[in-house]
Amino acid sequence: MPEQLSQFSLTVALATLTISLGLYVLNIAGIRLAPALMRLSVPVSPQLVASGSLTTAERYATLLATNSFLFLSAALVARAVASHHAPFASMFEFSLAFSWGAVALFLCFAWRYQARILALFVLPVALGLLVYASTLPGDLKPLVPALQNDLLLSVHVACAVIAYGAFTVAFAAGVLCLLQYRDNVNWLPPHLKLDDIGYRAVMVGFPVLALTILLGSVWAETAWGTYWSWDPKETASLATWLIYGGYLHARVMRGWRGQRSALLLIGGFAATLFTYYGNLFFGGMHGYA
Amino acid sequence: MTAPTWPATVVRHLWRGLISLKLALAIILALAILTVAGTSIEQMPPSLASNHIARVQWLASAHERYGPLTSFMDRLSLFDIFHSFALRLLLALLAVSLAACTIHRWPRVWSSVFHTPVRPDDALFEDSRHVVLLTTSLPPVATIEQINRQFSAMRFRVRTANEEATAFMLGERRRFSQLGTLAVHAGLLLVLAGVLVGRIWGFQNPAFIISEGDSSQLGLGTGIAVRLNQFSDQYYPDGRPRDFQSNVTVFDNGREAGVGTIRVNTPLRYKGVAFHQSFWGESAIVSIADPGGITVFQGSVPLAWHEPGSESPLGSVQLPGDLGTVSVIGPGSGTEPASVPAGEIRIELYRNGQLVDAPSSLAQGQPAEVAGLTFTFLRESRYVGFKVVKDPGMLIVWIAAGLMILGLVVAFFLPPQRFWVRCAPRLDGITEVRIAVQSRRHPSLNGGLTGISKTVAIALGDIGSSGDGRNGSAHA
Repeated sequence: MPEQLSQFSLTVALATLTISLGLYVLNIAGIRLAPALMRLSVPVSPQLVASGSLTTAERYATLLATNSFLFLSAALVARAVASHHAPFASMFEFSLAFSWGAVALFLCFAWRYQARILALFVLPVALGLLVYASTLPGDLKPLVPALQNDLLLSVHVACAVIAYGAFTVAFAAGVLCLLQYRDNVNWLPPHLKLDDIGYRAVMVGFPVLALTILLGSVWAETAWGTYWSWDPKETASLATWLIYGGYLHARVMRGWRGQRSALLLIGGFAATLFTYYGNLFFGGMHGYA
Repeated sequence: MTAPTWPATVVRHLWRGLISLKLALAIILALAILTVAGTSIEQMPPSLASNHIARVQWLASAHERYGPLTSFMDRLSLFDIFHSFALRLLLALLAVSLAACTIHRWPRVWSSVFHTPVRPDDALFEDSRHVVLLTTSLPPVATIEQINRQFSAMRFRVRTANEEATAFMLGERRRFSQLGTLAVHAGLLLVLAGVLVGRIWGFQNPAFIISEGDSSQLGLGTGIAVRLNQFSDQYYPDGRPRDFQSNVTVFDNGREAGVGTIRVNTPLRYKGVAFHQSFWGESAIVSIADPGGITVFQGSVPLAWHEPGSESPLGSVQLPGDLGTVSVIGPGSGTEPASVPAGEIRIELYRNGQLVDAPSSLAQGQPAEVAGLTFTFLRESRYVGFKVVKDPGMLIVWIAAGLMILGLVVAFFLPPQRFWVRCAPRLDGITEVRIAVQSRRHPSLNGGLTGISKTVAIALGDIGSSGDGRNGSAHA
């Protein structure tokens, strides 16, 4: 029963996320087309012309994104109930969780900084992860001995999910910042605000990734007897962390803003994806996920 | 002033290079590149590095993939990047650069925490992005007193100063948060120090092998011996492993110290030495008698190794005196034609590195004579390979990493707040109050200036002023 519930919730989440993204895109198309429509004397809501204000399309898009977040949560909870462990034990489950993290952090940042526009690049990532997950075997399997550690499985992977989610938001802010670096795009916030959002997201992701690595090495010591073994996923996460460390220094010490720091955010996210996917290419001790 | 001597100049240049952000970024980039290379090129298993024959075999298999580039890549240690000199050099360089930066920044952070001037540069009050302007009819000193009360009520640490008719005030909160960044960098250095401590004063035995019922000396100067009482393995219905359990008794200098169970996620720790369940396999219990019928060996031989190029498990026994070395070979997976039949073993006797004799396989309980020695395969048993680690640096690593994360949280989420106030009389008798904030990190967020100035404006009964448009907070 929980398995079917999980499958159902996943399907609904996928559908609502797709529609949500579609509405966000439509909303921007509306804003871009508004002046032209007005010139053709088509009646246009003044809301649409003033960028930054919340239009009906945007409101529904955000509602749908929230909705898909709830269904993703339900899918994860249902799997946890069915398998009696945190839903983090296979590439399928981790992809769901990563997608969940991206949507969760997006909603937080959209609400906190009034920047729903981040959806434009966060939601495609979340969608891509869900679509990828649907190609993977999702059957519930009991845990092999190395994964039988309830506390560390839950906390170590939950931290990774939050960190990856935050880096996805930072990536979206970086891309938008690149589009807006001359401050001449009327449907985007000023580039300094986007830059600040990217920084805020890294402020969340950076310590949490550090915690992920620390807990991972505590677990590695418990299960395998070495806290660091240069396993591909382990190493890639360290490199990712160092890249974001470089970003923080460049920004805080050297005052990098706009284009250059945005490029670092995109590079950091590439490293994040490499970390997420690296174990599948190269095996290693994270072979299961 | 005399011109600095050339060694001083060189040292200064070196120091500047060392603390430069460019160097740190370059090192991080190089490390990232090495990491990508190390994860995309298949790395040699660490156990092979010290075994010449296994290493050559591994390289031969790599040759199929990389062709003539293989030996070149090997010379650049591209197959063992994470133990390479280049990686170590980069890590050492990063550590030195980190240490230099920490030392370089320390005086500034220290004086910023403890000796911030009450009267800053005038320029600070002119930067309209970070300044709020209020006006009041109170004289400057009384105004400062009033503002002081407001700030103190908000648990700011307040200091004041007067200069002619102008009054200054500095309000600080969470000034020790500035030590957060320092904690991060010191933590990172301490992690590396902890790794070093483990390398120097720790030890590791990746394959401490004990057969069921046997005991084995750990050695390495510990006086610890372990007996494997029982090993059990459990599987799920689909054949995947479910649990491995080793019940062991630990002996300390011959005295029984305790009994414990070692599982994959629950190592046994005794006096700083950790025993981890690592691998297991079959062993053969054999008895060997010399020509006079005296037993020279009886016990279990763990078949924990492989002959090069073969899948058959192999173990060996060194016999006393010049009787030679015995290799015991167990049944392999059955794919090879010469493999040993299931339930039997094969014996090879070596003397001075030369194969003396190797009869056909031995069935259980049937003695066989080889070069005068009588071999009896008593029964099958199992062995467990434990990974044994003593790492006195580990605690340092955990504490340092915790310190680092704590420092990050403090630096990011509990930033110090610092407001300067200047109350200057104008010619018309009105006092002009300027509140400035120093927020280097979040220029778009004003560091709480708006909220603070609103509180102050209400307390002063701000009467409005010639505006440069920035005094709006109280009226907005």
